[in-house]
Amino acid sequence: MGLFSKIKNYITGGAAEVSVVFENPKTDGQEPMRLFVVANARDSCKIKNVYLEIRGMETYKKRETRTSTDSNGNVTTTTHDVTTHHKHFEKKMVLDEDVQMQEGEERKWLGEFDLPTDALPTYHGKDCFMKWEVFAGLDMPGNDPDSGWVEFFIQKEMNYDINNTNGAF
Amino acid sequence: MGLFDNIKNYVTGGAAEVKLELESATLIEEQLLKLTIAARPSSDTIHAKKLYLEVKALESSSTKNVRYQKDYVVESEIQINEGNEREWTFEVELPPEAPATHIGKHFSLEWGVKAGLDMGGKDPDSGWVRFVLNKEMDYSIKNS
Repeated sequence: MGLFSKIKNYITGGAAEVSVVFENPKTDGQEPMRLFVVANARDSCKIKNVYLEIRGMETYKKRETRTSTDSNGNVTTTTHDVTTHHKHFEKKMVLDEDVQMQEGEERKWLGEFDLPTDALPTYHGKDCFMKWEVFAGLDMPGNDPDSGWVEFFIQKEMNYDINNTNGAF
Repeated sequence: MGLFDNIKNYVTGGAAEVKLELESATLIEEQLLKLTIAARPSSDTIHAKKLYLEVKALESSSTKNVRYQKDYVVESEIQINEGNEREWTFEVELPPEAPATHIGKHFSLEWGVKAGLDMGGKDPDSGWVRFVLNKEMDYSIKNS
């Protein structure tokens, strides 16, 4: 591979293609989650470590009020509903260290992790979401090749009763 | 009843008292909401175009989005005489895609049901009665 391709890969993280394959993308959260991180090298790669990030994140709208004063001293107050995130769970794992890959080579690493016992189930709404995701990456000089955030789904029946509701109506 | 009482009832919906009771406020896996509605005039005989029921799932953070809504007519052309009370039992079958109750840290998806008498002016109604739908949801289908 030529020098320009190496520079391009350094900048774009294109030296390898990284993907995540779940044993099963749906879980009730009780059993450990298992997946493979798969890397296909497009160039020779010297990898410091192979990492996996896991997050459970709530997305919602939050009302923010902004006050501004113009040059005449007139005060204007505006309100906006801003998309906001709250992380319920965050974890980073190192699956392998000091890995050398040759151009055209494929490698797989098994990742296994437990979810919190009180993990909220996945929710997809209009403005609000509860998402569980993983992100696999190869720690290399320049931009790391990565899988992007890949969603898995916690499906379980909750045990709410009417006292858990907080009066949306 | 005097003119002023009639005007007051027109504005406040106070011509009748409407009550709604659920057989169970928590639905577990089953999708059938069983309820009883009772109505009685506050004073004079009342006439209503219909008795209706609204079922709603509301996603709520700083914004509110209706995720499910369906209205039912329980009965049309109703008359309840002064001093009488009427009662109806009704069942609502929620569709399989009805979203489960979700209580997050900063948002919620909650269910409510309301019964009302369609009359001139403000409708007398039961107010929203909340219930819980506990079930497993498969959100992977939309993504596949």
